[in-house]
Amino acid sequence: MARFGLLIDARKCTGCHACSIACAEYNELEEEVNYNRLEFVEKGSYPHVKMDIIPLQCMHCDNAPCVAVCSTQATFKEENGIVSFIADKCTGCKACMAACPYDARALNEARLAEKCRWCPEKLTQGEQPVCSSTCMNEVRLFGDLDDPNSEINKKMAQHEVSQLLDSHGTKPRIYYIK
Amino acid sequence: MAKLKRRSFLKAGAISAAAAAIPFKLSMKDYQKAIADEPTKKIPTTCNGCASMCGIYAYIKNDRLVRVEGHPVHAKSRGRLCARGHGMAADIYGKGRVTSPMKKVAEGEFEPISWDQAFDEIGEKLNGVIDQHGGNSVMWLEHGVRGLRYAEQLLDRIGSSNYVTHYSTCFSAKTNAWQQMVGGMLNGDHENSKYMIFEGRNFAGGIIPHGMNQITKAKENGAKIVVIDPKYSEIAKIADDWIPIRPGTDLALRLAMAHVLINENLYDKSYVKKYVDGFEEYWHENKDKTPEWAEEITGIAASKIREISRELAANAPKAFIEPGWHGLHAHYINSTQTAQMGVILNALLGNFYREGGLMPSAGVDFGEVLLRDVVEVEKGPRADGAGIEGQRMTVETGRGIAQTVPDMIENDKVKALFVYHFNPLRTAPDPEYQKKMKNAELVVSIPVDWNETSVYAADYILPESYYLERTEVPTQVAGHTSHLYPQISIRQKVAEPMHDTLPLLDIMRGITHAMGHTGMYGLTVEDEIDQMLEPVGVSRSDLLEKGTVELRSNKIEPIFPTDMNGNPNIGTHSGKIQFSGEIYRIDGKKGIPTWVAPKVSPDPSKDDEFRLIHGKQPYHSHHVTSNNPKLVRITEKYNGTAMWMNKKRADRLGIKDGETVTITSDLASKSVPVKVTELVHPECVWISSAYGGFSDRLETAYNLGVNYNDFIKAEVEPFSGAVMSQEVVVKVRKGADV
Amino acid sequence: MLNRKMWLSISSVLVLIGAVGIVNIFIQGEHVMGTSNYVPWGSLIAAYVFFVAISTGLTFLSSLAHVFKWGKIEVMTKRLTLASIVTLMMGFVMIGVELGSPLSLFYILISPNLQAPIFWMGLLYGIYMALHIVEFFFQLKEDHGKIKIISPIVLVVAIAAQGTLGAVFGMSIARGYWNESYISIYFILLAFVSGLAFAILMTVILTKTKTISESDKQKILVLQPIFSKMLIGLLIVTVFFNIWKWFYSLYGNMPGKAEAALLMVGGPLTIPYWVLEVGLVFVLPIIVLFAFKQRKQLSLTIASISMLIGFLAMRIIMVFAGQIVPLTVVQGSESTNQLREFGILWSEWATMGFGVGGTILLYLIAERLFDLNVAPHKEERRKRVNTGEGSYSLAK
Repeated sequence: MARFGLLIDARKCTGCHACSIACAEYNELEEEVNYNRLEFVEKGSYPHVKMDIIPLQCMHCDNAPCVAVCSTQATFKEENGIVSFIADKCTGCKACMAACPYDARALNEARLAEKCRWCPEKLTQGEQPVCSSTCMNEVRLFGDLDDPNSEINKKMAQHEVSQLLDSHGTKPRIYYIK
Repeated sequence: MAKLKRRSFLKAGAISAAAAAIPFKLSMKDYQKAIADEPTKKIPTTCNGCASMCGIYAYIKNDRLVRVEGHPVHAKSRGRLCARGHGMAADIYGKGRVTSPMKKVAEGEFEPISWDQAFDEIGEKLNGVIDQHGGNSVMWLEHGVRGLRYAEQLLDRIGSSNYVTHYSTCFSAKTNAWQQMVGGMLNGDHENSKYMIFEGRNFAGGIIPHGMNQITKAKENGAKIVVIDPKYSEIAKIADDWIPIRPGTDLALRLAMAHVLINENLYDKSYVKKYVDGFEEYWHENKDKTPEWAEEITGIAASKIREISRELAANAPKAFIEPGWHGLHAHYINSTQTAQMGVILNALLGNFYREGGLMPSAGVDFGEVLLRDVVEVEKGPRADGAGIEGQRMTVETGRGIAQTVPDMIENDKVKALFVYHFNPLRTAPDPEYQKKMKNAELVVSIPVDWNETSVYAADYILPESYYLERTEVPTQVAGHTSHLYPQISIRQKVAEPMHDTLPLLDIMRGITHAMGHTGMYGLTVEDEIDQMLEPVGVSRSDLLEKGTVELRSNKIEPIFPTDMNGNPNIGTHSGKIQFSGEIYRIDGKKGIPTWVAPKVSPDPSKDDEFRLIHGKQPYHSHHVTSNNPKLVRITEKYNGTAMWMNKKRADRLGIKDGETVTITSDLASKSVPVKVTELVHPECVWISSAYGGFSDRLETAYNLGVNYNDFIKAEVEPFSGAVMSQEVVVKVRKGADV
Repeated sequence: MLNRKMWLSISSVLVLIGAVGIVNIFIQGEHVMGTSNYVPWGSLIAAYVFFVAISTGLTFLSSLAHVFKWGKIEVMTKRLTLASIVTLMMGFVMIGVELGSPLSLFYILISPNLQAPIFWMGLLYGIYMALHIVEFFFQLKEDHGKIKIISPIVLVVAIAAQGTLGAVFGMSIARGYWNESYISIYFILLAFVSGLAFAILMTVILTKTKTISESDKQKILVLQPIFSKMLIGLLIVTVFFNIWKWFYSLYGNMPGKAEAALLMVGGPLTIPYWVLEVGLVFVLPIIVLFAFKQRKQLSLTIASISMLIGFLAMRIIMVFAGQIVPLTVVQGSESTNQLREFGILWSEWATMGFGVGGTILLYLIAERLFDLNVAPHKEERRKRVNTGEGSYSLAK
């Protein structure tokens, strides 16, 4: 079975937020809910300065704090690597929100802690989720990390990659090209 | 409620009625099932999140728009879209739309009227104005150029020369100069380029998705990107080098770069000899514009100027200065000369009509639409004076001057005004001045939403159907990027209109028929499409099904156009690239660009004086998108309304990041949050062009941030008629306005 | 002050206003709360901790009678147990309002996650509640044999539950300010102190009512100095805990920890921390208890009320301090420049008021329904010995 991962080339991101809006549109998210966000980091001082832009979304951690704290297993890890969510089972205790070191979850109108699910209906069809397919700079590349011949593995082999807050032991499934 | 009337409901009703023949058997469960079972339709059309009209697919379920995505063939989108494209689609259900024709009953108050009443009253008033003041007193003012095809039929019929676009508020220095010097607009061939300079050009802010894709691809293939801009714009993020320049001095930099190319013999001599007219005259005028001279003016080290000029030359002809649009071309008194230098520098690199350089758009020969009831009436002089000797001789008549319409009304040159898909009260300088538009005898606004111009200036508001609710004639895919084969794309209705709105063609038909011209606008849009497509070899049904079609004819070749004798022929005065705008040689002016200092500059000895500059954010198309809740959510989350100020300058004024500051010019004093940053030139402050809404019927945009137009006077640049929107010095102080 | 009708009306008004707030939260959702995606836990989580901690502390005290065989406190056991049940119920109300979908708690039985502290907390507090009611039932029946069996279990479950509640915060690796193991022990300590403060207030009020006999009043008065000494002793331990917490927070660079601590020195929590937490929980009670020894009842009243208010503030401060420092996912990100917005809106205040009013109201109603006075204990023992019933005295 495929186990999905995401490789992000943040160097190419120019901060247009299309990922976030496309995602909200595709998943019919309410106004307050966003699965994608960007972090902006200013480095240096004028005129020798640059700006890093880091796209962030649920890391689908292999050791996900949100899965660990969910008392009803509303949030759970699927075999394909995706951290999924069954809204019916969610008590709205928000423990997952408090637990997530990436601030990746968002409360909806029904007071349930929604999350990015990596559009499994697209991924399993071999398509890119909308945050990736609409990105003009091709910042994101989703793929099967278990398949040595997948595009993502080929690209990962060409670059040095890192993960965010891996020191927390979360084992995130998103990799960033250094 | 409209949702319940839709087809799925009827369908479900029909099924259950047929099955049981018992009325009202329909339960909620049946209804839900019918909704869920309804297939999703995927209909191609074009986007209107900005003016680029990228191809999109709209997903429709139960006659309701679900989402959009980029059209895989369309050369501007190729399956990708920007945030605006995604966000603006939802505005079909937005709160700010005008829901039926409106008639002004008092200042800012309107009552809904029927289309028939609107047409009758407007037709009668228009006839009255024409009878009394002549047809030339009617003006059509629009964003441009989408309304032209229908506006000009009316203007021709009544004898008015007054078709004006928003271009003078946006980029007319470029369109004027390039038309003069190269006979049209060429686009960067980003994909094949090795070296690209984006000067005052934020390609990642004013986005063509596939264009950006080509730029990042080129970079991955080793191309170098240099961004010259007082503000670290989004495109600077992927640049190899960001060179902040003192705002208003790009002309000096360009003169010095040309100096390096010529002085160091780096320019393409054979190309210049063959294809350029006026080189000697140019060099004679500008021999003294050395990098050292420019360093003083621009603040960029002479060595840096030499470096980028030499690198450009080394990579020529696969190197260019991106032609750009708004960035440098309506901002300063020297904008026309700056635009001229854009042509000259690229010509020195020999990159026009060269792969990796600048390429034309592939043309499509549409069939001519045979109009009925065409009566040409003699036209009077243009109200804005464009093209008239002694007035605005050098300004292009095809585009005109948009920012001084209230003056034209005041001087009795304009009596009736149509404003189509344009909002000058917010997007042209000095809103209080623009409001005087309402003094015309008749003002008709044709918008989709309750924009400021409609609310504060219009006598009648005639709402156009949303872009997803109307079918238009096909267009050629052109502009901004280069692609080898021509494409045509079509905008078609993907959902029934939500409100009592009409497409422009129907509006024009209604007005002219009420005027008594019952033969005008006799064709349906389908008739027009058929006639246009006739010689193209694509059927209407085919085009409507595919949305965008790439043709295999008229392939673009990297060859300089010549006439039958092999002489250069690009539609200029000499057929060659002109280093001089011949028409500019009036009133003792020079056709050749040379140094012109900015009109005003901040006093360096005053800590609180700055030049106010502005720019596009990648998630807003200037003000048009600022009432979209999704996009404004991004604004709020990422501090989008904040004014950017250089950290050193802020420290001197004791201003801290996130505080409120007050910006004051001769015209206005307004408060905004401040972003204290290293990413902007110390002599200017920057704000986004998206905000400052003051129409209280646009809830989301209302009172959100400030707009640069609040601070600038309606002025006219002497050559191209542009607004000079950054010739303004403001004072900034800590604290809110009291 | 001790007029029953007045207490009934005050508490009823609080409950009614609270009900409006609760309904408002259920109708309008999180918009009417001071929470956000960045500060998901708000004042009601704090109020929940506040109430269940009091409940736990009261259980500690009541169990002194049966588990630790401290006879002097027997005069209050039923009332302590009743108060413990009532505050626990109010704690449940607080968490019930904070939960977005409390009915989904059903799934905690169907698909429990044994890894989740909240599962254990829910389980333990559920058992605690059930046993507590059974215990109270046998207390009313004066069935000391059964009480003797149940009481130690209740105590153990109470300690475990309170410790698990600490873990709900402490195991959050994302929140440096909470993420430490001693928080479970600290919670148990704080529960004891808050239970004591509540019990002291009860002693003051009970000795002024007409519902109990003069002899019982005297017995209760005897408890007061003992309670005060326990209180002061435990407060000193708490101060000790806090001083070390400060050292640990400021020392080293645990993400989120030092920043959170600095919220209380020059940050937005400075005044709440030093005035409401330090001032009302530690400084004022200690001063009052030492300085006004001659006016015992007044000083005890002031000290206990001050502490209870302070404890609520302390819980709220702790909950917010762990969240308003932005998480650093990317070093140097602009999103970390400003603290997260937070607040307590009227519906939340009203809900907390419901907790206070509900505690009083339920207690008053229960007092009417049940006989909370302790039967003459020694006689009963004799009676049991005489009849040979039970094993209590035989074992003795």
